[in-house]
Amino acid sequence: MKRVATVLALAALALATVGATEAGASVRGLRLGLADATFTNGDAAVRDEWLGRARDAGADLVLLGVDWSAIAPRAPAPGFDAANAADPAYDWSALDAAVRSAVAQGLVPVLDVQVAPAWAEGPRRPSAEVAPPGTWKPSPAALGDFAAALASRYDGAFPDPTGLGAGPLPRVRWFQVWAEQNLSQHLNPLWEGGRLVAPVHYRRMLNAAYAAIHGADPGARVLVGGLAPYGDAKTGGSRVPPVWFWRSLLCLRGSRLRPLPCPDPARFDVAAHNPIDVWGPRRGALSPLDVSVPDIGRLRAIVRRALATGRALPASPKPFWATELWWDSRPPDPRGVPVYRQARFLGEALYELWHQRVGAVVWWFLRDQAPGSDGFAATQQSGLLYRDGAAKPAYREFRFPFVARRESAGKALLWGKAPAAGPVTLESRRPGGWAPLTRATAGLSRVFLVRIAATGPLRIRARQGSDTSLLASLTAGKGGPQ
Amino acid sequence: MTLAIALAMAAPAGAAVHAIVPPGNSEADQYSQTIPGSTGPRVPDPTKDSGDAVRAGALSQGAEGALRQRGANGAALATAVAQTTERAAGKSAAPAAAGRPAGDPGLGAGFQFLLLAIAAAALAYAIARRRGLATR
Repeated sequence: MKRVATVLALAALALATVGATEAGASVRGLRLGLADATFTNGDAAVRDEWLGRARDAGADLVLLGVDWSAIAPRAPAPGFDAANAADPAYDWSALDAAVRSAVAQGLVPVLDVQVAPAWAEGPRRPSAEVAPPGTWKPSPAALGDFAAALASRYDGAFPDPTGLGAGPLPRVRWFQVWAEQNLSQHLNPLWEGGRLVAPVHYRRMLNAAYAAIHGADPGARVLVGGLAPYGDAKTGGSRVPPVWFWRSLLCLRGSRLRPLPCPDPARFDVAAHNPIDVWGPRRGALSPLDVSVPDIGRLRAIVRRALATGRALPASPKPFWATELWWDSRPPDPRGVPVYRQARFLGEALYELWHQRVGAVVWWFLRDQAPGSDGFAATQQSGLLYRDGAAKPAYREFRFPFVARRESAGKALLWGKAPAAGPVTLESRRPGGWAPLTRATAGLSRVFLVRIAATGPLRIRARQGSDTSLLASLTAGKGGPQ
Repeated sequence: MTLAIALAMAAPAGAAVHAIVPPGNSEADQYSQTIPGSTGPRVPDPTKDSGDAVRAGALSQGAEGALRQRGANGAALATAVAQTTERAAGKSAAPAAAGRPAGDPGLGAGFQFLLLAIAAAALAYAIARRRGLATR
């Protein structure tokens, strides 16, 4: 048996020859980010520890939630200047600390504004059971004022009120306006009198925030809030399918994307989506109105059409970001996916999204959440790290993603993101150890892509110095893509 | 899921009917995927174009029976479809849209056929494998 395995391995190696290697410098990049509650922890030591772990994991971006209702006064007194970041009624202390810590760790903060204060919500508010606090018709004008204050506070010139550090508060360049505004948990009402109204209201919110943020810092960039991936294709549902929401947001009609009158087109710099997936990252959503990992093209087509018809401004290319992605793992969650599958899903999703020209992916979370009172069902065990800080396989995959994908019976693609720029060795498993298969160069983006001729089964990993990726497998090339 | 929601996990989901939830997050039904059925009322696009109307309906009895005979996975899938279906004879999936003309065939017959084809292929594979083992 051992001899047969040896012969098979040697045969596979003989059939695997180096093909065209794409130059590292020409491979487009993929920024990686993390979200985690510890990043905004009130204890500086806790914050710094986990932000440091995020950096060590290879994250570039950290997504920090900005709770508007917690920073703004509960009841603004006369004279409150909502657009003034220095107004004493604002309490920026927690956000200042988180931004300061993130930047000190070499990370790039992305600030996601959510949750309107009660005074900035619209009239005739229903109960909190119908519309959670902060979600009822948030005032676009009030949001614009808050966004102006937020962007000017982090424009790189605002004095640090604590005197900590030598200079001003750090600059923040990325601002996201709301999150999952296609769900009633986050924005209400979605429907009124059988009409879909949330995208129109959100457009006003987005445009107010866009104008304010760019007014405060012309170099800042505004992201659309990432939408939840699945909706209910029915009038009055609590989840609007993302395709419907985007069409309405961008004044396009139906599947043919016919332009509608649009006196105030949506303004944004980056299109975002949350392609949280109920199964593996290579299976698209069942409904053509939903958007999971492989379906980003559905949104890209809408944005492209909007750009072509003047319904998305400014008229410049809109990068796509995936601002929430996760799978819970087993252990610890008995209903999660096995930890190695979680890692494989992560790597495959990164490749799928990169392949669809997504520019950044944010993984939720760095560390497992604690189980709730009723177990694991209502909290997330999607961390790269267990609760105690020990690394899951997904940590290694995030730090050094590597995917092997058969493109045809005789050809395979090897894709990854190395921990650093420089040479990468692709190694294949042989009886007795690992042997070099081919080499690649990771450019400044650290992403590498190699195509090889390979017909036999292969088990491959990527190596850079002492860092190795998880193992990826290619089955025998019997037909089409693997 | 916003950071705030992720931390608090306080907001209950809405009234939508769902089927497939992310592994390990059975209560996070804002992220569950509804399975489009093969029959039932159709739901027009609220942007006023019926071109991509989808159906919200049920598997036929035959298809459901065939699925349930395909072992645990088939039964689970049939249950999931049944749970996410608002049958035409019952409450309407789209009160505002009931009875409107439809646009296209949606996922209906094709999806049903696909489910049956997968089930048949799995059965054939199992039989072939068993025969292969028996002849060794």
